[in-house]
Amino acid sequence: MKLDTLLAGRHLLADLSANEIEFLESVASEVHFARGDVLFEEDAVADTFYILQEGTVGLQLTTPGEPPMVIQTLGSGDLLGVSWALPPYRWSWQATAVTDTALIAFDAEKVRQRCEVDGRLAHQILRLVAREAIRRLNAARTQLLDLYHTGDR
Amino acid sequence: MTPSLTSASVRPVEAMLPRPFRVIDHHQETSDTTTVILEPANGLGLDFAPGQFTMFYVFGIGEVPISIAGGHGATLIHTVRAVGAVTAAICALGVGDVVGIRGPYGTPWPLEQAEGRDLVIAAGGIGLAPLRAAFQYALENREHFGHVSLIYGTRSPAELLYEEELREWRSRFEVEVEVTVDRTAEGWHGDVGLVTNLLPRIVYDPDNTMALVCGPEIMMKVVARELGSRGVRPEDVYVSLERNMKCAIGFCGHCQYGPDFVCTDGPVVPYGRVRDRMRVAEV
Amino acid sequence: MTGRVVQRRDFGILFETLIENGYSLIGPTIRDQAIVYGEVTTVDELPIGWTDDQDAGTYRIRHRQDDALFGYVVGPHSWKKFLFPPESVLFRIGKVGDALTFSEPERPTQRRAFIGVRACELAAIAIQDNVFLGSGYVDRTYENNRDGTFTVAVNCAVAGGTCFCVSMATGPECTSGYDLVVTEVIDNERHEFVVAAGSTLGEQVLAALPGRTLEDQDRTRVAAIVAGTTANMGRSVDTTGIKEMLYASRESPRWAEVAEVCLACTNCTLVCPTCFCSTIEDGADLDGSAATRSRRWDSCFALDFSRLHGAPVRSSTRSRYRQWMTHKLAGWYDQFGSSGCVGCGRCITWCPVGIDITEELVALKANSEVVV
Repeated sequence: MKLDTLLAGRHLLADLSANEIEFLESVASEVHFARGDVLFEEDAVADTFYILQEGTVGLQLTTPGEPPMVIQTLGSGDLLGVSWALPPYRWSWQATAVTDTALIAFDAEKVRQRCEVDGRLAHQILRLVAREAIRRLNAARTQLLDLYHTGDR
Repeated sequence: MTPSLTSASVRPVEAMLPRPFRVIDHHQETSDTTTVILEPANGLGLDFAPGQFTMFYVFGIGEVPISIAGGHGATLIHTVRAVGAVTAAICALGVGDVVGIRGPYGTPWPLEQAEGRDLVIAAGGIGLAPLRAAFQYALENREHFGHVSLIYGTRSPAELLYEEELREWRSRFEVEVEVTVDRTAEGWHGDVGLVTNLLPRIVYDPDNTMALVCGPEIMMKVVARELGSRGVRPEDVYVSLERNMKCAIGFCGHCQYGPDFVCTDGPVVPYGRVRDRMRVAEV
Repeated sequence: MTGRVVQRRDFGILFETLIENGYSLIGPTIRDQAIVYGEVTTVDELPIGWTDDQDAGTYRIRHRQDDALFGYVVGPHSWKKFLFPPESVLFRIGKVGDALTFSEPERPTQRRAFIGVRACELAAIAIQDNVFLGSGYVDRTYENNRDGTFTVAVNCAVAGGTCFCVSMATGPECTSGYDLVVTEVIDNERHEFVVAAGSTLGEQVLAALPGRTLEDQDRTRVAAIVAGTTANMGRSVDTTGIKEMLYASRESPRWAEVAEVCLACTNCTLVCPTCFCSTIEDGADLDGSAATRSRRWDSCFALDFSRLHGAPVRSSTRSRYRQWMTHKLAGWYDQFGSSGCVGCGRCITWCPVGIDITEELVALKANSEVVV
């Protein structure tokens, strides 16, 4: 499939060269998940990552005695999955489709293998992943501050 | 009291003297926040521009600055969170109670300058109140703007303001409305996470956008920085400042933030003007 | 504008004339070992033959060798207590059933003559005129107090130990903003007053005073007195680039150093002739039928001054000192087009721990250069 026809998330690939885009296209496919489907499970092997096109995906963890709580949702244009890029290549969270979703799926194993021999691609991929991870980290830290509470701390 | 854009330049003569307003309706938004609808008790209303505030007086208790959340014809709408004696008293007002209102004060949202541009309205918590009037203005003057988006984040689903209106706005095709909560609750199937996570979803041209941001200072900072990292200039991002206020007319000195009086040089200011100050503690 | 030289024995006629014209007089007088401003009716109530010795955290009055009427500078009072009173009623609220009425108090014009206003004080009054009358909204209490004020200015013949009006370009010579200006000339040969009018009203009062016309030698003596005072300033300040320097010094280590000694006692803001911060108080009568809103002086040094959402924004002494000094010497330019400081030295004299704003400026400047 052609990545320049992406509905959303083009900005994620903005720094890649034409060759690199071509390679990613060769390992990409369009996928759909219905509301309630699990895209990947906690602690499972991370062998696919996604760029969300339509719909919402929620990240959650299971706890005994409590229904799973979504701690963050991802939507159109977001990168779904960062743990696939570094060892131990396992998901930290479960990803569930909160609504019907359309995504572009990438074969993480093939990307990792290519990165072993293509230094420039490895650099670009890690930058992409790091940028999203830093953004999420800062947002999560701010979320921790409980900004909207009342004055009495 | 139809919102207009130029009323801000008219300064009331007896600026410290309130006028009586009567409560005609009230609606509890959340456990600690109430929307109060007022009409003038003796015919003298006030014209405001979105972003301005009034000084709201409860007999025998005191007076606080409250952003104007809206108003049409002869009504004035205020959304108030109970955090002290005066605001708790406001949240306990009943229909028929008379209060004192003076104003409007302060600089409004730059809706005139925003004409022809994409409009991004970002609200956090009770910051949605001063932005509600701006969003309504955009809806009523839709052809003046490019893409119009509202992103709103609050603590949890129970703390959403203007729930019915939000639902109505979300259903419109000509604007984009995204809502998120910091922590989810059973029954919530919407977005979870910081309001900045919603920025990739909405459409705006960073070169031709006016962003109006209101919420806790940290939220405004992170939203302004996120917009900046996506190419929106600091002079195109407007924030609404808050400081201790007593007089609202630049005399008592309490609301100073650097050289600015939040009551007369603000509360709405371009982010570029306060960016350096915002990172220094205790200014 | 015309001038006249009035002899010491005739100077009291100025007081009598003003009183006959319906003015109550406020002038310098001694109370509690200090020269303060209070109601006076005769020349004898002035601090005749007294002077003051001032330095950081120090104020003493002592006798002079002569009987000069104005041989001292400024004390803990400034004219702001009469124009911008420490407490005033803004309005009253009446409650009948559910209805509320808001009514302003009567503000009759008070005819008051300020006797002995120094050049720095004229500058301070002009600054507060700008704050309360010239910035868009008008403060009714100040406006009312300002109307009907007759100003008798005095050129300082001595410089105070903490004075730096020369550095702030506010003195020592009175150049405008008065109805009459007086320069006391006292030496072995004479004790007289060179009195000049600065307004039409001043001319009228001057016409009632016995005296001879001004001659060149009188003008020379006045110039010499002014020159002498100019040359003896207790402090000095370099105001070049002061605004930019203070804005750039928000994170200077100097603030923490001055905070070690500053007590946040608010003395400086109380004695400063331009400080204008106030707070609003709402009080209700016990029977619930009426309430009053009043205003009283406040200080940015008070912990609660910047309270927001339950906690002060400026909770450290360091941040409050920084706020006061940066506002006075930098922010004021952006707000009102001039410095907020007139160089009167009161904040230095009346600081219980002797913090000297002129020294702080030097230290901040030194730190700011190191950082660059």
